[in-house]
Amino acid sequence: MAPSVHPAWLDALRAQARQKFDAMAWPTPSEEEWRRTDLRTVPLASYAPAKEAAPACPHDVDPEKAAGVIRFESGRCTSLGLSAEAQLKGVRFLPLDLALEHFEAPLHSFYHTGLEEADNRFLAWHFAWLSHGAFLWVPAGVEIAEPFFIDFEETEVSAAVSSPHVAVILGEGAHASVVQRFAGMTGAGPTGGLCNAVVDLQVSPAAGLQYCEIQELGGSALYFRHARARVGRDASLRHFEAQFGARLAKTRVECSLEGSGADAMLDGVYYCGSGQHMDLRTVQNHRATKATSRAYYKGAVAAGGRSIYQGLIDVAPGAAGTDAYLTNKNLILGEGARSDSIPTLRIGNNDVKCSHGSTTGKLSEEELFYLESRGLSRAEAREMLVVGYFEDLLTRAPERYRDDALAKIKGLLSIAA
Amino acid sequence: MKQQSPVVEIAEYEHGYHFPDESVFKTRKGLDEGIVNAISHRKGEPEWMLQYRLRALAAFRKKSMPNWGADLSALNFDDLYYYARPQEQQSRRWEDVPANIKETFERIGIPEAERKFLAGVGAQYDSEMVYHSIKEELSKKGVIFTDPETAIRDYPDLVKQYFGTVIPYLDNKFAALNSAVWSGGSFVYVPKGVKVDVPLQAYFRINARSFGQFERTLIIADEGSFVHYIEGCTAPVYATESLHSAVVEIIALPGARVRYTTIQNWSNDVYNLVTKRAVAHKDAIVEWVDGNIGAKRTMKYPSIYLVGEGAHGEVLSIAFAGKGQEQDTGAKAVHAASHTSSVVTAKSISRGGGISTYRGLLKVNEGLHDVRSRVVCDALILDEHSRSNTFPYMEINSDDVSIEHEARVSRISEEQLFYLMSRGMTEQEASLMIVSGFLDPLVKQLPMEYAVELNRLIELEMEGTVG
Repeated sequence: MAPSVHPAWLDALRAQARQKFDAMAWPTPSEEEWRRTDLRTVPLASYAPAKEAAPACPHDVDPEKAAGVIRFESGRCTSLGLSAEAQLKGVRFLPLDLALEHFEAPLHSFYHTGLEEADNRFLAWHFAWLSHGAFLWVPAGVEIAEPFFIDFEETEVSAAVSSPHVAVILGEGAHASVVQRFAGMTGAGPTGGLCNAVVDLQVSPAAGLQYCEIQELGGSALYFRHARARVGRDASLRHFEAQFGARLAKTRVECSLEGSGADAMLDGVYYCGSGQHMDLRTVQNHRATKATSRAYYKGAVAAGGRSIYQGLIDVAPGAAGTDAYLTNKNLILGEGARSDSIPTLRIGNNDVKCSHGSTTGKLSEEELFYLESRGLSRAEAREMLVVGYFEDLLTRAPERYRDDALAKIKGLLSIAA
Repeated sequence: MKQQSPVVEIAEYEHGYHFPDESVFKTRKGLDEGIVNAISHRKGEPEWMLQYRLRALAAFRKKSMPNWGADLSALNFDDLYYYARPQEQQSRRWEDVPANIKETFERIGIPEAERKFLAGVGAQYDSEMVYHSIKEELSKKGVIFTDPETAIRDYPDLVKQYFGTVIPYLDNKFAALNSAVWSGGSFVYVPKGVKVDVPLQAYFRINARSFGQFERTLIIADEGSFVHYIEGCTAPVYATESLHSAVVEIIALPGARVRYTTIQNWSNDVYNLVTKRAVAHKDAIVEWVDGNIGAKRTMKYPSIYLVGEGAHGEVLSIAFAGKGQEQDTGAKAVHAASHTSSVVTAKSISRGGGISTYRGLLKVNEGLHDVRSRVVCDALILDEHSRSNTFPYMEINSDDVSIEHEARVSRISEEQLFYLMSRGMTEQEASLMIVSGFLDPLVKQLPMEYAVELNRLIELEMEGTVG
């Protein structure tokens, strides 16, 4: 296997990111996006980069029913597999350090735009301390039915920062599906680790990408994620996120519909347990005509949990024929739970169909009573109703992902009960 | 009864008119302790009010401008007059009101309205009440309807008990400004169990160049009482910017119901930055009906704090943003007690490059039960140059709640236009009919004469929107 490669431009980029990081301050509650997540009590300065992982030396594994699998442990790629079909069709699926050798140009462009557009210190921080990640490239016209699995088992070192990056490029007319998981940081003591991830998705004209993330980091972890998607003409993106872990999770999914007829669906489920703080944001950026977007986020907040959902539909003046919708639903499971819902619209054009809806409520006493009268215990009835609440959204996700998410929700409910 | 022809009046108003400035006493431009002292001295206020004004002035200097909302960058606090008094004595009778002021009122239609329907008229010319009348029966019932200056003199205990309790001067920069230089406004007290069955009206006028108007209204509805207060604003058209920054405080004591209706039609060079807030105690009901048609920049979010069990709050809001206008309006409902409910209905129309923004907050405090709220925002954008924004904030800190929110942004649909035009209407008529239908649920909530006036204003605003 090839040794770890650090092209000169990457070192230069890190230095540039470092400069940008130094020039910026941590976001404060005076910025609207951070108003409900106060970092002043989080000792960010005491976090240090995780020790540089050894070069990737993955075991070749059989992806079995998947199109590809890649697994990282504490920042190091430990296993890698790609189906014969995907190999034959020219798909590239690699850890970043290997990808840098073969796919310098697209990564170079991703990183540079990402850093240029960095509008907060976490993004600059990410590029300055960029540690590991995965790269998927599907050539034009290639359709892969089975999902690619990207699995991050994060560091257990206390107060260590991990900065993983995922880059996915679909060529024109290509179709693929990715399931990506963040786990680990479970036993690192009260300080825990910090995961500062960036996901870059490029969906070329007429391509179709489904990207599903599940986050189940340990309860003392801090999690920051920025996903940026560009969807081209007549292309479609299905982005799904399931947020379960971390003491503090602050995420942003920013989707730009850049070509006419583009279509994006941003779905999310979150379960915010006691002591957890989750602040999730989606942006539906309509930059082209006749594009469609939907965001549908459903959450449950247990006693002592705090969830915030901020959604924005932003329609540019020229984006005629826009059809956009945004829904947020929150289920409040206990006394002392806090849930903020901020679905917003910014419309610069009159040829649009834009709307949003939001509801917040608790489990219905009538439904609980009905189930109890049928012989279920209170806990079973609750579980059934909560699972049913999430299931209607999760049916839109790939089977294995859906099953994992539902199992996770059941597990969390039984802990809470 | 004299026949009114409001269509002509409104059409003329569109071009603007004003009478020569005959203010008797006027402070110099700008704001400092000297000005505040002069205002207070001029009004012959007690020391505690002067001290309150000075503390508010200090707060105004310390507070920063909002970093959100409408664009206020052209607002220059040093280039405004903060006080002008139109005449020496408050008129007791309508006959004593100076002729030119009367003429202005006549053109807005006050005298007819007053003679025909109304119980009391507190009409404000520049920053002071010049005319004030209360019908006999209201006085007999113990209803107080006067200006705040008189209230401080005649009912000091009531004023001291409630003034600044709903909106403290530290609340925001513009509330601080108002608290420092306030002048005129209304003071309403409705005693226990008294139902005022005709609306109380006050018309406000701005008539001095670059003049900031800072009226202060305090409404106290005692237990089990009811009052409907109506405030309408019109202003002549001027080229320089004017600032209007009112503070309105409402206290609805247990079982009381207060309805407050405003149709704001400042001329399109006015900054309208208003703080309006109500407190609803046990089983009280507060309703804001808020129409924003004029002004260059509006920032106004009528609020209801539901502090007693069983309280209910409602806000109905209409905004019309035309050329050069930014209507940043909305509503706030803060649930601080169990078994409370609120409903917010907002409708906005943008055209000719105007920006309309709904900005609202719905908050449910911790540990409450049976809280219900519904917020619905509808926006129409009439052309491709105009914008519409919706920023509803929902902060829910209790579990036993039912919160719903919906917002829609759309344009006039081709199908509806086509249908109406196939029935023989012109495009202009069809558009107007659709817009009227869009606003209808709100217009229905207004007293008849206001509904007529609003419909005429919309008609006027819609002129030239097609083709």
